[in-house]
Formats: sequence, structure tokens, C-alpha cells
Amino acid sequence: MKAVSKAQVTQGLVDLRIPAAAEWVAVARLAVAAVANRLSFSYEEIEDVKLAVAEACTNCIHYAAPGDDIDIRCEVLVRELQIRVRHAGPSGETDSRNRGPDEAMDGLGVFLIQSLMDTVEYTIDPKTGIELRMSKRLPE
Amino acid sequence: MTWQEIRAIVLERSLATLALVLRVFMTEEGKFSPRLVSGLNLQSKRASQRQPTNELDLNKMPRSESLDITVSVRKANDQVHVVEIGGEIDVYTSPKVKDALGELIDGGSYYLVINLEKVRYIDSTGLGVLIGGLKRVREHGGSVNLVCVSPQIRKIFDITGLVKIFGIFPDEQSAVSALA
Repeated sequence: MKAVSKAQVTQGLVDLRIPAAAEWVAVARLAVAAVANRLSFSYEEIEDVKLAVAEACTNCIHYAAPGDDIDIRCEVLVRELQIRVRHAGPSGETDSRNRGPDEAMDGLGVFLIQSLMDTVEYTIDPKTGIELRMSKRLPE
Repeated sequence: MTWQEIRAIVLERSLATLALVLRVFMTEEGKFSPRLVSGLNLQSKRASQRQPTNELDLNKMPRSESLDITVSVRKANDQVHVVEIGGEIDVYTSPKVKDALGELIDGGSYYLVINLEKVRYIDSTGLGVLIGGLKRVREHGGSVNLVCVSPQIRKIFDITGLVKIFGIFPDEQSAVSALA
């Protein structure tokens, strides 16, 4: 049996699925802010989490095809909030034709996520889609 | 009244009630944010495949709060225009800002003050629009100054290093004066 450390025990799990469309990003942002607000994060830290999740969703939208969804999972652990944002297209494939008009700014979103969160990992696979995993430590 | 007549009335009323219930469910699921319902695991696969009826399409109804942004333009002096933005600048709302800036620049206004005092949120898409505007006015020898008082928004400009390419001021008067 795999040992699970106390720090990795899930205290709460919130799943949200939104359409991969610009008008839905605000919903994800507000939902994640509500989760962060339940924890001991400061106002500034909640704003950081909101922006990071919105940037992750925006990245997913750039890869999404019409009709695709974005899955957002917030997992509350003892010492941190882990968030996974995943493009969940029906085909599981990305559509690079749907990239936004400001393609030159692509790197800025990921840069912001890296600056605002404590850990960030992401995978972009043309077959399985895009997935960003990030975490923010809870204040001591 | 015969037993057959009573049964016919009961059956008719039951069917009417069933039709009403179905209509309510189809309206809620088929027309109003079916994906949100799906996200909450309240919607069956069959329900998601239903075609919306034509009776009350909430998605086609006007929603005054659907775009959480306001953009207004005014002249500060002969040379400088002020673009006052309020609300949230994100991937959904930034095209409105882009259009307003584009219209001004196309009209020959190359000295702009973008007032972000009433902006509660900005993301990389919004930053991209501001950078795009700055690039365009610089092609004509112009400039863009920003008014920013929110520490959170100022932080985004600090993190991204954009404080070095935009003039950022705490009030509109000093932002306008700096362009004169």
C-alpha cells in the first residue's frame, strides 16, 4: 500500500467544468476565488490565484475547438491549494487554429502563473490537450 | 359519469402535468447554460442532446451585465485623449478596449492616457491590448500613459516589467501633464 503523508491528505475537492469560451472564464475565476476565500489566504493571494486560473483557462481556450470544455479541479490539502486546469475536448485533441489574436503574448500568461503561484507544471500534447497544475502554499 | 370517463379525465390531466414538467426541464436544461448543469453533474447525457425549444430562449435574451466593462473616451486637451476603463479586462472584455483604442488611433490620436482607476482586474490579454495600443501610437511618435491606483493591478505591471515601458501615474492630471 502506498503511504500517504499527512500533508497530502485532501481536505476538500471542488470540480468545475466550463465551456472553453472567453465568456466563461470569469465563472472559473470567481469559483476558484470562493474556494481560496474559504482558506486562510489574504486578499492579495486570492487575487493571485484568480489571475493564475484565468490565465490557465485562457491558454486552454487558445487550444480548444468549438464545443470543448475546460475542467478545473481545486484540491485543498493541509498546507496548500492545488489547482489543475485541463482542456477537455470531446476528441481530446487540441486545435491550434483557434489561437488568439495576440499570439505574441502567449508566454505572458504562463509567466504570470509562474510568478503568482508557488509551483507550476504544464503539459501541452497535441493528442491529449493542455493541462496546467499549480499550487499555492497556505499561510503558516 | 362512467369509470371509463373518469379514467380518461385522469389520464388527460396526468399527461398535461407530465408535459408541463417536461417543458420546464427542457427549458432549464436545453436553453440556459446546459454545460454549467453538466459541470455540476446534474444533467443526463440524453438531456444534453435535447434541442432547445423556441418558447423562451434565455441565451438570446439581452443581458445588461454580460460584459463587465465600460470604456469612455474624452478629450483632455488639444493633443491628449483620456480613455477611462472600468470593470474587468480579460479575454472576454478586452476586444472592447482594443476597439476603442483602435478607433482613436485610426482617427489620428497618438497621445493617450488610459485611466485604470476603476479597473478591478486585468489579465495578460488586457496587457496585450495595452501593449498593442502603445506600439501603434509609437509608430506615429505618440505615447501612452496609464493611471493606476490599485496595488493589485500595479503588481501585474511590476511583475511583467511593463512599468518600464508605460508611464504609470497615480492620478489623471499628472498623467496628462506628462504627455504635454
